[in-house]
Amino acid sequence: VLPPFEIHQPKTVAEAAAARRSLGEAAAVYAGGTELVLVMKEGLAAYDHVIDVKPIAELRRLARRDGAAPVLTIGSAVTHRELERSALVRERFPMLAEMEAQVANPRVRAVGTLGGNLSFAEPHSDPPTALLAYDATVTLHGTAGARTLPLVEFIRGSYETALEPDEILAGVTVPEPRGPAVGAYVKYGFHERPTVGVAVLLLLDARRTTVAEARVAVGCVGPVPLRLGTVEAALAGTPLTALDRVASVTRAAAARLDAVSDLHGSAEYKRHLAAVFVARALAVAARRADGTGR
Amino acid sequence: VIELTRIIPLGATPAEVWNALWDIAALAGCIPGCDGVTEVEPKRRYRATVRDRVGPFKVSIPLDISVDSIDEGRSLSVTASGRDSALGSPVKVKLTVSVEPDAAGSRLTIDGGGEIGGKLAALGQAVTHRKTRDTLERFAENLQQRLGGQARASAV
Repeated sequence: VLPPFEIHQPKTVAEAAAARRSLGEAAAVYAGGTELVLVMKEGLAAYDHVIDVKPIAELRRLARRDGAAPVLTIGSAVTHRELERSALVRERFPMLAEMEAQVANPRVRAVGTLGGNLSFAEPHSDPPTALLAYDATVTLHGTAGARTLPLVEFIRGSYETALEPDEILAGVTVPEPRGPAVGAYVKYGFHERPTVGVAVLLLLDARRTTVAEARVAVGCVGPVPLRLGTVEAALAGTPLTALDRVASVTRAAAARLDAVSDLHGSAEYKRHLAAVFVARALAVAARRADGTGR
Repeated sequence: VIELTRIIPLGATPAEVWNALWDIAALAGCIPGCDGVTEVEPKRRYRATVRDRVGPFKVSIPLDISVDSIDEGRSLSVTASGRDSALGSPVKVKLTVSVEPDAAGSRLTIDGGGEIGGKLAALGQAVTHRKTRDTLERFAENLQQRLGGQARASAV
């Protein structure tokens, strides 16, 4: 049973930030509750105040901003389900939609939000890995104004983020890949939360036969998701028919991953899984590029 | 089960290090999040509270600390046990601390392990292991600041 608390429903992000500042550690932000309510029920954390940000209109927006460098802007209270089903996301950011379709289960996706997920920073989570491959940034709103950070600087560790005590995660900005691109998000786990998640995004040359630039991100195996820079460098210039050439570089990079042993398995096991799933994700992406895979 | 093993090189002599270990208030000051140290029985029993946080999770654990054995000037063994005040999760740590002379002064060796149960353990070993390692690292740095020594403690 949940202990009693007072619920606050600010109308704007500025009001939400002001509420955080005045209520301090006695308050938690509610953005779907799929994690927050669990920890409160379990007694892992207790709050006298809950700031519900879901009704804030500006946090519910999902849109593409056109221009020289088009981006997808996702308000932090947009749900996983909305991202999974959005025609815009499916068409222009298919790997993101593919990842969202695999988050937890339909009940979690229906109410859980991207902002809630990122702010909780549970390491066994899908969205940060996919967003890392897209080079996403986050916008934080505090009482003194807004600031933008690369996602990699936002997630500091297990359950730890760069959010200051008066800040609200307002949204996520995802740059649209330029030119032809294919991607894949694959995950594996035997608990509900993933043991490993791998996101690859391959930007292709004009003929769609060779990798021009690669992004490879591995999540869940350690406290924060990581990009495999050596694998990305090895993939650049590689024909899509020969992506298995990077197998040894992938194994070496996976062996150096900052993995931790936990209920999902040993660090060594997770490093092994990471190499296997990077190879699988690359194979899926290559099949998509030549039209033989979904 | 968490292993706690560290060798901390220190600039002071073994006798100075041994005396510093028994300056309980100063020693507690080197342990991150440790406060409220009280002496129940000199050189035998103490009480202290350690606090830490991981993101939204705050932990406060009142500990009973007993000194199990002393090899004067050389080593001592302690057991600290308690329950986290919010969840009642049991925590137990057993440590042997020994001091030996070496070229630069002395070498403090911490060897032992800890056990965390209940919901606190459910937070995940990933978190509890990292926190323990970080705390030990910061303790080593603090102790070196007080007693001199290399900037970093070396892993065994």
